[in-house]
Amino acid sequence: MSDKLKIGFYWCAACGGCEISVLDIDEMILDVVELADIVFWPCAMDPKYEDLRAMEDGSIDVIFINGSIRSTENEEMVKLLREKSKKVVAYGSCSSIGGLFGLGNLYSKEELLEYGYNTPSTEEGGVIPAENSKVPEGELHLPPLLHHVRSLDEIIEVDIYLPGCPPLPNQLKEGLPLILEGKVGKYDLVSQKSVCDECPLEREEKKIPRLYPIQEMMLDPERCILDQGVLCMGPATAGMCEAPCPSVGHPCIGCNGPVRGVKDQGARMASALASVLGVEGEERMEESEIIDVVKSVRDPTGSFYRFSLPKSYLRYKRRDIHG
Amino acid sequence: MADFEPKIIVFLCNWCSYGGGDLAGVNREQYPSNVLGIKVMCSSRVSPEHIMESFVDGADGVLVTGCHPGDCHYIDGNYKTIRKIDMFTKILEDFGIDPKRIRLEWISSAEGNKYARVMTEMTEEIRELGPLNLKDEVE
Ligand code: SF4
Ligand code: SF4
Ligand code: SF4
Ligand code: FES
Repeated sequence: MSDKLKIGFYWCAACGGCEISVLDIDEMILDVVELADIVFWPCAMDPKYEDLRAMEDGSIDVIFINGSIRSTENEEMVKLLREKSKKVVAYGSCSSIGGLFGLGNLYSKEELLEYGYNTPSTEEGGVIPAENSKVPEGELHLPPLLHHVRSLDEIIEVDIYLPGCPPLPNQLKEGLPLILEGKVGKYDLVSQKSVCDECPLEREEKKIPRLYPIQEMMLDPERCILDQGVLCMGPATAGMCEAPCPSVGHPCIGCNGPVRGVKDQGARMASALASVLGVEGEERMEESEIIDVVKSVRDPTGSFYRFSLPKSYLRYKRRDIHG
Repeated sequence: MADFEPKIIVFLCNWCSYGGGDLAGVNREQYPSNVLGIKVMCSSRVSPEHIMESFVDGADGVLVTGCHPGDCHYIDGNYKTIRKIDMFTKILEDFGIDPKRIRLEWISSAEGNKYARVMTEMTEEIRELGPLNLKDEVE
């Protein structure tokens, strides 16, 4: 046996983007293969549950887990992977902060199933997949959905967080070697700087009188997008991606989640935005006029928590409001 | 729910509302002991994160108080507060939290009576709503 590191990749409730992102590092993949043997990778290798169960505890040096925790299968698999691995990396935003699918936490699981399988857009019209069903070949079992989407660290202990949807080549080129050489701590790959700190666009200190949907604006490619009145999540989002989105004229949508040490990306964004919104001469205005500006912020919950809702303070919709 | 005693966190701006609370004390105004005051330099110092944390740590209601519009010691702090609380209340509602659990009030240092009235009203309103139970729902 070689004395190379043994690594693995696993996906939970994922879109597949994180798996692809591993290949996005081009020739650097050769350096990775130089350092490590890939011993478990369902996306590429087709191992069975039994194969993993048969592995010795702690026999995988580093496992990279992407995707959110959405079903009991995800939950069981990551617990098993924890036993089999020395180090667990929460790879990508779904895994480290709950991710895009976390927006589903604003609805109950029943509402989601109903919407997914019983709206005019769905062909089967009202057939919700059963957890157990009999077919001529025997009995089929579908793992049930959990009550809400979770980040990986709600289920098992995570050793290293690597956010990003998906993590970008520059993040990986910096992070991967350090992870494999055991040189990073838990939060070292979550930036302390915001996307604004890395953004090349020019900012002015001025009040923003209202926000506009991006499709209604001709953006000046040199100037800060938020200054021009289009929502940009840069102030409340961790950098390290080197601000690729605003650099090409698209607002940051917050995919890296909150900067290191901040718990709630949405609450942070609400703070940041409330401080820059406003109109000149508001000292002479009625309260209702001052609040008017806020109306132009469309869907604050969906926009501010797009990637990090399962790791916010509240994590999912509560049942405090009655009828 | 008869024996439910609400826990309410009230943020008091140093320059106005804290004085109002002080005056209420000096004047021996009566108000419920359910409110727990936290002094801040300006209402705008209260961030949505503080409010979230209050709820998660067991508050049933959060009250933010500050100087009347135009009177903020830092000129426009309370305008920011207005927008912040408004935006944030919408977010809380999306999370299924009753918007009545958060309230913004202007109380000057001369308004000891308003201070006592607001504290009483808020306590009664929250008592009616019942406890905010954020304990995790089981699978
Ligand atoms: S983090 Fe983004 S790219 Fe990765 S699985 Fe989730 S949605 Fe896909
Ligand atoms: S464009 Fe966005 S990321 Fe860049 S400075 Fe403005 S708000 Fe920050
Ligand atoms: S700029 Fe924002 S949306 Fe774009 S990669 Fe960076 S964190 Fe993600
Ligand atoms: S100092 Fe009182 S609200 Fe700003």
